[in-house]
Amino acid sequence: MGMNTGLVIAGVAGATALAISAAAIPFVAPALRRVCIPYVPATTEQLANVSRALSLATSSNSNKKGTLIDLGSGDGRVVLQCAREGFNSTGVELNSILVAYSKYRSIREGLGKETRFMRKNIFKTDLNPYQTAVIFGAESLMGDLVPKLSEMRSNTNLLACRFPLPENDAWKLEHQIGEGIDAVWVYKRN
Amino acid sequence: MKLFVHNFMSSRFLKNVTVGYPLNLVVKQFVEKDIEFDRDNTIVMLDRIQYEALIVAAAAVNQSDRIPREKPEKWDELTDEQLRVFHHLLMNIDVIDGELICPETKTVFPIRDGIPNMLKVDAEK
Repeated sequence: MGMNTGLVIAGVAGATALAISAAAIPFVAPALRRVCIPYVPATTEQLANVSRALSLATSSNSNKKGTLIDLGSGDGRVVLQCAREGFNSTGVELNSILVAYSKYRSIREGLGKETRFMRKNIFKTDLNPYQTAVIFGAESLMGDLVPKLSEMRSNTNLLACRFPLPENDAWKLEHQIGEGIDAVWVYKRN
Repeated sequence: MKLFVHNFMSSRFLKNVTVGYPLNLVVKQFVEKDIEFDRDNTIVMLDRIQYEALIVAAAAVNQSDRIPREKPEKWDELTDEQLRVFHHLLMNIDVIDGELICPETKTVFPIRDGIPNMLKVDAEK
């Protein structure tokens, strides 16, 4: 009898622990990712700097109105702005709430055809089709991104916002716009 | 910062933080906008939120009495009138000035001009 009671208690305790673990997954999941970065939306100043950077990056070639990807697109504000400026823009974001909101916002603003939003890990996204990439990263992320960004073809553009790329052979720094947290670094793929 | 944003923000990226969720929210100033209600989109958003955190956010803007204490079982069974309350909370309330506070370390992240600055303590990571 005592043995059975013990087994029941152990079973209940195990099931409870499992349920608690399952409930905690949405909150603990970021800890399991290779890089855990906070969500910080772009300010008006940053968006203005992105616009300036795009016009500089695409002035000397035919990339204008080309394909652009925002890596970690958040609430979609950068993607929508780039679409307004003539780019065929894609946003990649892990957070499903933000993806849902971005899609809703793009339709509401009449940009549903010019934009696309995907719930995807940026490290599992094929960057080869894109002529321009935008990344609002954290310092810890930029080093990890360099090998990933090498998927992009020669002569493509990269806009690194908030933090620059570490020195590397694949990307040549062409411009820096703004300073501090609003800074944008414009790179060209070698 | 729209209130739905609070729902997924955590301070898990800080050193020695295990869960860091939900962040405590202090609202000093907010505005109420009038974003068009869309039933389907509201349900899509509500399907993805953590209800306990929504209650925290609603309380921060003194509107916790407008939503049920327990999460409704099926969002699509709610009337438009009931869903509009959630839509208003999630989409129409914009926090302009305030603070997000890590529940474990009590680290304060300011919200200024509607932007939550989670990079303030980047050096602590």
